[in-house]
Amino acid sequence: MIVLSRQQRSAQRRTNGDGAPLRGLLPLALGLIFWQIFAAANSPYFPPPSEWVRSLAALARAGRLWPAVGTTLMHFALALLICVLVGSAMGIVLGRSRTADRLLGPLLEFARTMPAGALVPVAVLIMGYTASMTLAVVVVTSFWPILLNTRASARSISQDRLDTARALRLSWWATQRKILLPSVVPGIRLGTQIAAPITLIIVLLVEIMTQVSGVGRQIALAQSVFRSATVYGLVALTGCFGLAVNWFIGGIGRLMRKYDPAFSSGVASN
Amino acid sequence: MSKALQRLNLPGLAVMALCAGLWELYCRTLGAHFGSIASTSATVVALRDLLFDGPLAEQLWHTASVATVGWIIASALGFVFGLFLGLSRMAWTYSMASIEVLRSIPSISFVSIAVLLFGFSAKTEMVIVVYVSLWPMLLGTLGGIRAAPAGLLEVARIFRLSSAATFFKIILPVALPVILVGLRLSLTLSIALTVVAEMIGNPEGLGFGIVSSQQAMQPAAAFAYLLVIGVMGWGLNAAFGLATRRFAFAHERLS
Repeated sequence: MIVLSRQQRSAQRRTNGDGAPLRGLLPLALGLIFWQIFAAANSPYFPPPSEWVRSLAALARAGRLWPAVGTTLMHFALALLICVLVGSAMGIVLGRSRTADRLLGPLLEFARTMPAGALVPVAVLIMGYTASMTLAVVVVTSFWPILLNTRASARSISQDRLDTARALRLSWWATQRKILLPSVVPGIRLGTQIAAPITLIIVLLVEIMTQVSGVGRQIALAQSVFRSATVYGLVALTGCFGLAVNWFIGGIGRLMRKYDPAFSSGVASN
Repeated sequence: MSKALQRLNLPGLAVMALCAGLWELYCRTLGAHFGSIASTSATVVALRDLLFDGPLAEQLWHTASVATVGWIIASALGFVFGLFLGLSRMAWTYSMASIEVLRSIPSISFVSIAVLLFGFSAKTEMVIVVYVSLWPMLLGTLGGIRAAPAGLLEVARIFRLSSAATFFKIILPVALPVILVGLRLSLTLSIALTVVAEMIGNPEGLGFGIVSSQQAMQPAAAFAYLLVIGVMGWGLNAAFGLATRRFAFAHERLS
């Protein structure tokens, strides 16, 4: 564990963007205002923001917005949950057993570089246009950060703790529960923080590509009939999802750093 | 030679072969009545057909070159922007929050906007790839530069280094590993988004190949394309790893 000096910690805060002042929103706000003023209301390419809101409201009145939002967020939550379970389980096995790591290494290394988009057509062939297909593609492509970080922390459990377990004659099961699990929790948490935004992106990706359900389907439909204001509105909406996810993750990260300054050492990103 | 063999991880490769064998077995027995899956052998046959009589080589070239060119353009732009924001306090203060907001919009959503603006064209593909793979490089460069330890900067001041010397001797070497991580993430994204863009926005390359074989219900061809895309992604990543190994070692010596 590295104990960071105060300067380094403040440097880290800066690089994490936590300290970015709100004044920085100025260019974005100005851009949107100019867009609103100078774009024609019926512009086919750059409809002004007021049109985005109007088209979203129309979509909501037609009863198609909120069910789509619900589906997307539910897929996101479910997929993230499965990612955490699968990723931490595999990470623990691979981190504790060198044999398993060596046996599965090449297979996983190959699977890890597989782009999500390419998996979609094959997943559709195997599972059809279903919700389980969406979940399968999302999990297979976004659980890697959790797996890698859990593996890293499972590998680096201090020998002292394991010796303690042996000295106390803990059973195998008790050792797993009382020594191993608490030791890998930081890895799982860190991995989940990295995986969450990826999960959101892949959920939308599958929805846009297959037009099965959710916000992604609405975006793809609106794009195919050139309802540009609706597309912009929905994209802005997905931006809000992204912001919410990032804000939530940032909040957790800040909380962690507050209580455990050494928390962010040993990062293994995807 | 024996050392190279040891590094090859034969048991791991055997597991891969075993999986391919089991899949073949499954397709011939339990899964034989599914018309929409392709066995390992059928995939290999389809791969050979696509390679020698089909458009595979051309598509592979298209996808790999777009991904690489897009990545290079995005990296250059990201580096310049990151440098600017990292070195100018003023620019950082008045734009970082906007960047955080824009970055939060899931990149995939922009594919639809790009198709709206540029139609189904090569331009769409390039714009998507560059836009999406710009971010990791920008944030990597920015983060790396801003992470320069205050102590080292004080050393530069004590030695009265010029600002150019401070940049090249202190800031850039410290930032390099983080920049390399950004470069690598950019590469992964550019490959992924090239394929997606070809599936949605530009009917060319491997992405179009895989989606059209799925729609034509040719599972063997779709599986073959998936295999090729996987190998291409792995190959480009491995090439990047080889090319930057020298710098990674330099960093290990440094820290």
